Amino acid sequence: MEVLSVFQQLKKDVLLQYKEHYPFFEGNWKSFTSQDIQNLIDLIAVEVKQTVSEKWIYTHLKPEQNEKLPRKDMLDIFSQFVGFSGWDEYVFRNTKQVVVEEKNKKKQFNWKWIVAFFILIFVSFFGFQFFKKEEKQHIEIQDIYTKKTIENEQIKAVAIENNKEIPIEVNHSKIETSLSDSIKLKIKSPFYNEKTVIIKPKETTKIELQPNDYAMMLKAFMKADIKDWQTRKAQLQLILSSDLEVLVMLKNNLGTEYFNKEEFTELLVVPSISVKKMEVLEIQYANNKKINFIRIQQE
Amino acid sequence: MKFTFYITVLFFISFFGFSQSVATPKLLAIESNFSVESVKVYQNNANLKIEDFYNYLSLYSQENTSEELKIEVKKNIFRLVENETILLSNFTIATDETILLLNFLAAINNKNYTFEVDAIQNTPSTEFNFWITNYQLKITQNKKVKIVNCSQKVFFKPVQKTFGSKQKEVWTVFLSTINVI
Repeated sequence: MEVLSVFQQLKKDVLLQYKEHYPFFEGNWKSFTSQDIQNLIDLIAVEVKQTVSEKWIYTHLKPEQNEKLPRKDMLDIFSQFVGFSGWDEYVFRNTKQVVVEEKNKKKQFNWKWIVAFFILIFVSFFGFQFFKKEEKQHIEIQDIYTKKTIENEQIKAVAIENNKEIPIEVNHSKIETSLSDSIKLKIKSPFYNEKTVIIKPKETTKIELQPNDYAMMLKAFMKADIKDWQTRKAQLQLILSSDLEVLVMLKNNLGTEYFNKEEFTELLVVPSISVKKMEVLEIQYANNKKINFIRIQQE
Repeated sequence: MKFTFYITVLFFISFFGFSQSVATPKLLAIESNFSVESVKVYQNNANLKIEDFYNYLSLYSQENTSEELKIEVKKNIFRLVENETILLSNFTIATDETILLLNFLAAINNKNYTFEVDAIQNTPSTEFNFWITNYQLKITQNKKVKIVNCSQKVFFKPVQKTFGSKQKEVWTVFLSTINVI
């Protein structure tokens, strides 16, 4: 350690020693006043039985940087003030200590970084595993002819795993699936033919559904106005089975209304407020492909 | 001996019949079969039927509605009521006479009446198999408007309904008599 640095350390120790006697002093050499200087001179006179001048303190202790080392006799005095036999011992002790401290610091430094490194590896590994987002793909559901997306409300999707059907959410006419595994899906809709498809990662981007003609006609009739009522009546006779059962679920499923074929046909031939508030949930077909069951939700 | 046997059998049969007739009305009561919340839902459903009823009457009354279409409209009107002989106030004329529905249709035919319902309110409590619904009826003809306050009986009861080869008992709402209040 360079001797000027040792002298800087001595200056710090002198200040600490001064504060031992004058604890209310909280400043540094820069803020050391003439009164403080006089106090220090008196202390040295008592402790070390030596005399130091105010000028010497101004010249050597108050400056932040020292260009050269002061006289050794003065260094001896201040070394004795801080508890050493003289400047030589002070230098010896501080130099050795610094080397030891630096060695310890190096050891601590190495050890600390090694531990930190392993902790970082550990945290990174498990954090990555935990927060890793599985890559997903979005499959759009479309009408095979119009190529338009089919409304969410008209679609139900289930995943088939081990012969069990697990419902899957449909958002904005899309189904979200994993990019890592193939998945078997069944898509159901009251107005489209049911479809079972195996989704292959990155290969399948859309599912096209075949509209059921009778169901589409029914949907159109329920939204129709009075125009073309005769055509509507004739077609309803063709597409509805004679043993048709229409089940209308009332609000919050607190009630049910039933219509047979005759009543439901009359209802659709002349449009009404009631029909405008109906939404088809499910359609079933007889063997002759005529509609024999309709489940409706009334708003 | 035979005479005593037959009398005894007839005696016990009469008790059976009596107990059946005592049990049946209670089973048919609305409150025995539906919760208050359910009844409200059916009442709201009946309110839609009342609106449909007057829309059908309006369509039936128009001169430009074809006779063929009027047949379909009539079917829908009668679908909403229990039978064609329900009575209603003839609110299209000044007097308070009541008239059969069939005759009312004849009275409004080709007369271009329109009917609009507003402020529908159901009575909170139900009778055995019906409730009362009150509403305002706006009757317009040739830009002349008349508003009457009406009170209508609405039945709610189980009926046998046929679905092709199957039959099922289903609870059904029927619109009934209408009085001007």
